[in-house]
Amino acid sequence: MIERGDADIMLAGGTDSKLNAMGISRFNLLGLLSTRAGTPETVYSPFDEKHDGIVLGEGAGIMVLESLENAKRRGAMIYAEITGYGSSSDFNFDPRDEDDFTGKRVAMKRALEDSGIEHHDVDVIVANGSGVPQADIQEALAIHSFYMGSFGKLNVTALKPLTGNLVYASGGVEAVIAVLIANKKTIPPVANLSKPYPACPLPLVKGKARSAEVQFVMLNNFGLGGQNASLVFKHVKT
Amino acid sequence: MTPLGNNVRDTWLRVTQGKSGVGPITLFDASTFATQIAGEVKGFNFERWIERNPPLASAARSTFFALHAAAEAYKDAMLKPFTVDSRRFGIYFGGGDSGIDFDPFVKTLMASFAASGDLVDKGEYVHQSLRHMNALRELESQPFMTVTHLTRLFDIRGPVSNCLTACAASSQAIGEAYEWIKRGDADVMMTGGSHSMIYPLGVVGFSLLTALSTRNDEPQRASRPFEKKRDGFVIAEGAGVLILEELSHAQKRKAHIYGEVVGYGSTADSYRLTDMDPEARGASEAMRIAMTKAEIEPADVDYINAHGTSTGVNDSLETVVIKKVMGEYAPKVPVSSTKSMLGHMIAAAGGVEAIFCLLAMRDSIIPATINYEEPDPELDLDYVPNTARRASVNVALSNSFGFGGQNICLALRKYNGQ
Repeated sequence: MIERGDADIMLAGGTDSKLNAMGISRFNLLGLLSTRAGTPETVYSPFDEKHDGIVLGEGAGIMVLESLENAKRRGAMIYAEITGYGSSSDFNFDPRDEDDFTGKRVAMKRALEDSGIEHHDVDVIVANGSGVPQADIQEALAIHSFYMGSFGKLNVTALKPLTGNLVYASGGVEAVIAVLIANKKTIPPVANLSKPYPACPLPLVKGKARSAEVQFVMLNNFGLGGQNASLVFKHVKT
Repeated sequence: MTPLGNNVRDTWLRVTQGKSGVGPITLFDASTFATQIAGEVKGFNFERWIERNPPLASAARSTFFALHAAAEAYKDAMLKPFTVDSRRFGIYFGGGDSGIDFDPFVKTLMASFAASGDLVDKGEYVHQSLRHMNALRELESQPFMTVTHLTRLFDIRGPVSNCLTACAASSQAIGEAYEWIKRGDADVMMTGGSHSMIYPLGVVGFSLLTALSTRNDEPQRASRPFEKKRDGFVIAEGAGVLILEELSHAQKRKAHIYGEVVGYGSTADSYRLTDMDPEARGASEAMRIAMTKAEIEPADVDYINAHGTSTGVNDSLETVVIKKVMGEYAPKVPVSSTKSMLGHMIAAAGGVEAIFCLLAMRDSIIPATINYEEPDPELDLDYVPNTARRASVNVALSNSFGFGGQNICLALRKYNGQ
């Protein structure tokens, strides 16, 4: 909307809480929740061989987007620039039993094209990393399909094990963190990752946060029901 | 898909005849409700869809409406698999939520009342839900599921979104779908909306806001936009689906082109949860933006399909808005509310109303505002009272204003290029 001139400033992001009896019972009925034994903070483990579903969370993540000229004119602190956005739909009617990753690939490809960059330019992918085994595999295959094993400088992380899955608010919170990753030159690890799932061969950040120069961060968000969105953020040096 | 017919032809015929699709609620026993009337879709064969597509067995009522309307739009647009690159075929939809699976929900609630008091034991609720509730029906109750089924059945793999801006949703969806094509993200977009809120909690919710007409003894005369004795809107259900396409793409494959989206304005009121801003700044601005983008002047506007809900406040303020925006031309522009015949299809309203604007262009007929008996002295525009009117329509505006202050205006123009 900013790009087409409809607004100078947009408030964007999301807020959600499914932490009520109806919200939890829905995810529970669908068999999407993790049932692993363990301390609550350690069970949510996307891309790990023990991944078995979602742990719900709640919260909000909101950004102020602004046209570059407008932000410069009023001397605003600019964290990053959104350079690309890709959206696609696939037939992931049920995330538990589809193995087609092409929709997710299309969203990522469009975000790259929209940015005018190649996949090798991306420093960090903040994965959707839902923790539902089939969804993790699909996302890993989609990322892998660009790199075919030669990941170069790419680091992949996932934030949901730290916050829980914030459902509608996930993308807002993860976008804020994606921008901070570039800003602070620090890539948080995939929490609770001890042994990566063999079908998810990705350069995952394991153990502790990693320091690195970061210019481009790609964020993936894939919705239940087959809506895929990828964003590319470019660090702006201030 | 409307209370007046399950396809474009039947609905449009009855709209031009000034018929009402409103009647007593039959979907549940509403005899104890303050409002006992609604615009229900009639005679629709759900089983036939399920036979052909077994995964639809648990789908929501509004999902069926969407699929049925989409199938008609897809066929009318002469789309076939492989005639369009499915990755350049996107969807921006205004699909409303479908409420909860009522009986299993109530059973779960009753079984989880805490033994000692009058509160629901939340842990017990989650436990009891496993016994009483159906997982797929819970999934299908989510508003995005309508879009999931549409993408699956029409091989849509391009950009996707569903917007939830209440009564403005499907008009907003059409505007955004148009913008996505302009931006080059897709060649073809499916858009419009689908909704049904004719279930106990849906009706009760609006009743508590005292937004619904209670003219239960005269259902067909209950929706009377802009008229003096209006007492609220009539809730209705259905779907209106359109195919938008980049012009040269449509020309190349010789598709029938009804009209062009030429402008779209979207603003927020930033005022109050359920009321419109008394100065109607947001709504006027939405109309102005749509007209500026379309490069049209008030004198160019041949027809305004009003939001016209039949509530006291909406119709007064919309009149103010139109006067503000149209200036000296305001008395000359025909303004009608097709909600007088259909009731208010909430998220689906804008999709259906945009189709009416295009058909008004095709047939040179402006639909009427029916039930217009006694003028409201404050409201003095040309509301096309009671009978449809012959007039050529080149440019039409369609207003949709959502609960919560989302204002949308679409500018549509007749396609004269073929």
